[in-house]
Amino acid sequence: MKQTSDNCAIFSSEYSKKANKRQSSFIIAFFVVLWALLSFYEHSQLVRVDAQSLFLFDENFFYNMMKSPAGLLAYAGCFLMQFFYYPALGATIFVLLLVAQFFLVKKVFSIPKEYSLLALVPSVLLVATNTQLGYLIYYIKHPGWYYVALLGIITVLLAIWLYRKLSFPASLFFILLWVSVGFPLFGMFAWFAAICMGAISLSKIFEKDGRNSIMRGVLPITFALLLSIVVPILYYYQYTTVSIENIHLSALPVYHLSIGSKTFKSTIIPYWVPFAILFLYILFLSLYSNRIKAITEKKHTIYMLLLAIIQLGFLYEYWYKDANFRIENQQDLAMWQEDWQKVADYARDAELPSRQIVLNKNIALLCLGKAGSEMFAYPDGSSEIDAPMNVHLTHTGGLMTYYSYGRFNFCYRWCVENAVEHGWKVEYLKHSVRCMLLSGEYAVAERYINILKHTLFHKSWAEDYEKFLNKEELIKKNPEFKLPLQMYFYPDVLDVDESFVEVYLLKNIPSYLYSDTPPLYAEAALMSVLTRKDRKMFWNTLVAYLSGRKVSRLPIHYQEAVVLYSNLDRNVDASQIPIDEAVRMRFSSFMKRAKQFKGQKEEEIAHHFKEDFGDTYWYFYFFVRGIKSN
Amino acid sequence: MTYRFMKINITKYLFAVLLLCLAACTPSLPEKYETINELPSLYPDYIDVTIPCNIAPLTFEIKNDASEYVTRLSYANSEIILGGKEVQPSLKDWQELLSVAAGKEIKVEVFTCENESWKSYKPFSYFVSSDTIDQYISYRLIPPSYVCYEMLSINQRNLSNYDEDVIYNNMLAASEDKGQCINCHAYKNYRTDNMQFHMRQYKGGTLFVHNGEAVKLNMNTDSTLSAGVYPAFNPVYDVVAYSVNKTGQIFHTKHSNKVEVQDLYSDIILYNPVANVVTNVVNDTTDLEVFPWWSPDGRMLYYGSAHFEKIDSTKERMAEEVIRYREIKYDILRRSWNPETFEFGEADTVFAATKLGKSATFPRVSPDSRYLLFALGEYGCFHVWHNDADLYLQDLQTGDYWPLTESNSPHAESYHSWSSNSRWILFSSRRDDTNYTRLYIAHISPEGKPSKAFVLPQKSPNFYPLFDRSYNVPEFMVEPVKFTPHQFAEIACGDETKVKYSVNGM
Repeated sequence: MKQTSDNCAIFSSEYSKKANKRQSSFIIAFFVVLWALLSFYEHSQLVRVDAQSLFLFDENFFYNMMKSPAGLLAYAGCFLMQFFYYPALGATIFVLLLVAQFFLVKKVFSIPKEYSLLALVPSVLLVATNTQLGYLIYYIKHPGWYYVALLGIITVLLAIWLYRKLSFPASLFFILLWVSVGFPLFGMFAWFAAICMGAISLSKIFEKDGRNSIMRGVLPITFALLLSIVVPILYYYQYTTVSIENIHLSALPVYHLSIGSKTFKSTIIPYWVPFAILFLYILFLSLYSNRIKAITEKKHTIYMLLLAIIQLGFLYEYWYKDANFRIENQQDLAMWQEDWQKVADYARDAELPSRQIVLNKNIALLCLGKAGSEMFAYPDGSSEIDAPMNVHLTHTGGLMTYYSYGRFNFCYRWCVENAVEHGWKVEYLKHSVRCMLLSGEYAVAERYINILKHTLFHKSWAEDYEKFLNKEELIKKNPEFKLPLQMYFYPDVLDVDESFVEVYLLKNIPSYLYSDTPPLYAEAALMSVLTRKDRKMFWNTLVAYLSGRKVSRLPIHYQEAVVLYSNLDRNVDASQIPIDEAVRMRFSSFMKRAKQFKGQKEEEIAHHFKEDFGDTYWYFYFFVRGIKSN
Repeated sequence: MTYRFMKINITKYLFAVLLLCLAACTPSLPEKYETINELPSLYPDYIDVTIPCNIAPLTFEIKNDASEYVTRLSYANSEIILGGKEVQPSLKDWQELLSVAAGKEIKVEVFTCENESWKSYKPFSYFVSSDTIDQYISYRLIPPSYVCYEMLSINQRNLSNYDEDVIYNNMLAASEDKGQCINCHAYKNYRTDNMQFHMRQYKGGTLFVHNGEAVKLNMNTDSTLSAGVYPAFNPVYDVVAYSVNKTGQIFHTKHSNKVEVQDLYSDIILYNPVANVVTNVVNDTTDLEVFPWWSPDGRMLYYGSAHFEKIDSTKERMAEEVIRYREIKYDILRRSWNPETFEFGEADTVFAATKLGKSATFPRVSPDSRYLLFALGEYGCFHVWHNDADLYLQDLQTGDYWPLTESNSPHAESYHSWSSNSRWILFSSRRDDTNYTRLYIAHISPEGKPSKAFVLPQKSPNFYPLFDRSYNVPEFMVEPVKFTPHQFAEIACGDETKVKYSVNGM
């Protein structure tokens, strides 16, 4: 190995070629695999990311963004996020920007080709800032959040690149200009870039000796630090949307969530780790990238291998992989597409489902007419949500649940409440359109249709729904609205849901059963009663269910419930209800089996029963316990 | 020389081209057109509205489909001719036109062209009243939310142009995890040296400006139901009346009113800023009092009052109110007040809405003492959420009352205020899309005759359809607030002054 005079390592040409090839292959593979993962593995999540954002082609939308520091980043971020409507397209744009950022790191910090992996680190960290989020996508408040950090870092790199081209004292003026002009546009990325510029100058002290060099090294960093403190404070008096405590951190996402009772400080710290490492790393490169020490080829191989492993390991660790979150998003997408069979099928993939998965599956089965025969044949229960805060369905899929069950006012209420906290998003607008159309409030539906018509990709959806304005008959005829309209049967009362969608629905749906109850409503009431295991309400609800339809054979789960409840309530005569012989025999074998396991722990018994009886209401009744809805 | 000659020529050509471009861009009225007996479709609807002579330009979009549009606004020899679907007169041209048309009508003609054939719609008018309007208004901008809140601001707007400033934004003192609700801004006599607004929850208190000095008050005392809520500055004397309320919100499962805001208990208190004390004015458990307002002489206190007695001992009061919410109806009462002794007289019913089976709230007496303006609905006090709520006027000399039919709509009208010359009212209405409140202005003649209301003009005619905030609690002012938002924030984050209770309020 040779060594140059400026301490930069130069390896034998053969090794250098090999190392470069290996690293280039790794980096190319990294970006290709990342694109594939985002496009396919994260497909439904990215669709949800688009649904959880909004970009309007309207000048007031732009001016509103610019009312806060880092407004330009937020605006550009929102613009780019809309392309996740087509996940592959969105992923392509995101990855291409990451690639650009990678080359900028290499260029700006003059990273030798043998050390290319060092330039990949920011890309990994930037990906992690997004892939770590999971349920936080419903709560994150910064508009354009998916791209803000990436665009911010690109801006920082471009600023450093320009800075490097300037000589002293023009560079000092550039720092002043950059922070002063950049802060309103890029927030903290403006002053962070200035500190990096100062760090670059500081690092030059160690290259050359002499008073001049020290002055040129110390002055920029001092100036940058001073400006980083002072300029945001001065800008504070120009903005009315941010407090002085938060002004310096403008452009960083807000993770301070105060929903529910959990204490977040400790649980939220890990979410800052990718950001912290990212900023420290860029600062590190600013200080030390010009002083990469000579090492042996062997050491270089090991270090680069280790670096590759650490990067992959870090990304793996910071990639939110919760299966239920994924299934919920897949179901949500299928629900918007009215592919009910797919919605139900996805529920089978859950080992222990979240309540949202169960609710979605039940809506799908209700639409498919399979609720009575299949609803207890799917995994059931209530998995705890893997998130640093209490996730309420009112913030996630509960809007779809409310809409499907005809609770238009409550769905709309939560759209508005959520919009207040997190800003209007495509998803809230679409739910609002449907709810207000179906409740006959056309003027407000038209308002939201009009807003969606200012988007790039949701415009056609809005135009499709525009045809329903003031057309009650057309709405009634549309099969898409059959379930929610049949569920829109209850009377108007004053009520609150306390943010618990499922609990509210389970309690309320069976409360309004009349002689003219629509068939789907009566069935939903029966499903609610069975889920609640409410023996008292079961018989009346069953009567309501039967009165609205001609039933030659009761669906299997309802038969199972009849057999079970008539067994438990001896004073009920259910002999007139036809029950399949197979159901009776299966129930008696269930009871016999139960006697065999008397005295054993419930979990063990459940395990023994699951294989033979896991698809019955009896299993749900006795072994699916302690359901905790969020 | 040749070069110089060419240069001059080029400049001349360029100038000529520029003039030609300008001429081409300046719209002109079509020479031939067909006249049709149909009004154009406009948003916002400014057809035949009465406007003050010092209002900002009314901008609108012509909704009729066409390829070209020309609009002429004219009075006598003055005119403005504008091209395009969006009609946005310049401030200068508009002010010139208004200055000559004061007390008269501006004629508005809309011409559209389709397939090279022009047509002229039926002209309409702006009736330019010579009654001026107060130069400023203030309002809270809030999403039409129910329980949640995040970024809220109280803004002031110059009515003679489009300038809007923030008076206070809650995010200056709060953050995403420490929310602060701001509400109930009020002024003494349309001036801002005596004003207030409340901040709730994080760094809560009442930001009170007294004779130009701002403090943060803690108005909670052991002897009053709550801190002051709905305020009313006495226009003459140095006191402020507040209602104190224990309020809850509950939601309609189906009705388009969406939400009911109900008082579980409410009373009236009086705050004396000189002595920094409060005293109870009305303090009982069976009557609900709300929205106080002083007569212009400062010797009479008006307010809404409902009688509610529990009849079901098995239920909590709140639960019973929720079930019987349609039975809670408010009358408008008033009590005399002696500024020397601080004593109030007996309650006197001014408008017995309950006898009509209705509920009247938000009494506002005109500064000339002639009229009482209030909102009338079927039940309850929070008419801003009641589609049936309309504005009514009562002649305080004769007792006659009538709806402001020309100004009302089928949707909620509420939160009204009088201009200082008693000729204009400003109120919030949900008529545009039923959910977002917008500010409307209407002229009230000395005889109490209302004009058609017009929405607060904005620079862009398409501002409202995409604007995601409601306008709340509009108030007229004759001068802007002098404190900056950051000065208010500093006070909000500082120490609070505790208000004491005094039996006699002195």
